[in-house]
Amino acid sequence: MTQITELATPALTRGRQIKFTPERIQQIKNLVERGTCREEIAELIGVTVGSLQVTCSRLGISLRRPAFNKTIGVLRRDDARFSRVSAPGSSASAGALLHLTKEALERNSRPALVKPEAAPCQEYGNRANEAAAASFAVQMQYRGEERTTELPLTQDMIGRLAFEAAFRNVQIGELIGELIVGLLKEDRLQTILAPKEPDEGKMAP
Amino acid sequence: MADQRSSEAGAATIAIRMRYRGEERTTELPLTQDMIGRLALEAAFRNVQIGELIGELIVGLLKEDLLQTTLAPKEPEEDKMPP
Repeated sequence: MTQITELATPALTRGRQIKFTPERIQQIKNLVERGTCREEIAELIGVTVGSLQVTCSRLGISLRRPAFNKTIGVLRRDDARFSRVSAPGSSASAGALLHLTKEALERNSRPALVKPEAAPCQEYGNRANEAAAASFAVQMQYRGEERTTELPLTQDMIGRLAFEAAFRNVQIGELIGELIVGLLKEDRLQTILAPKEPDEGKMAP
Repeated sequence: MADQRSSEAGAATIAIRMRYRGEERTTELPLTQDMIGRLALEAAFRNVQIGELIGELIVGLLKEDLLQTTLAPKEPEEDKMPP
């Protein structure tokens, strides 16, 4: 901890923004534990990869990603890494855990969103851009050009999609495909997109 | 025509790209060119990109809890009912 303070204090005296606060250092440790790559961490913290590496080296923090279970799952309930973020040793229910995790990640990650450039490792969606979070994007290809739009899905929404997909024995992507096709076939685009009774407030008495 | 997928050269394709823990998976949406055209038209009228429109659709479905009604086949058991 003293090392951390030493790092932070000179930065203050030079009038620079403190990047490596104790909270940030803890966040880095958490991110490393969750298997986040150094480019992602650097982006989240708002520093360069080089700066991150140097600081972590000084503090004795390994940026090497731990081996993890390759099984794909969205926010596994029994995963201890979530409890580490906000409630160490917590045995709360999955919902509460998810809530706490999201709160903590939001709190920790928000300042990093100011940085406009995407890291080479990953670019994030607006809401699902927390470390180790799942992100969804629509990728369109036309005449050799490709465009990608991040879907504004919260982790809760992604969880619901994952559950729905699991119960139907399809992949989440397939489920989304089925949803869009279903909407188009039943001509329900308008009903989903149109705000409900938007003109009611404007009605004459 | 109805089953014409968007796989021909010069045709548009739309896919969902998922990223999680550094892994990436892409699933192509089984949309016909007609469907993509309708999405494009709808997006144009709303001044949004097709991707944004798809995002709005998914979010709308989830917020209004319409997953089941959209995915479930309509009256699937009717054929099996005894006379």
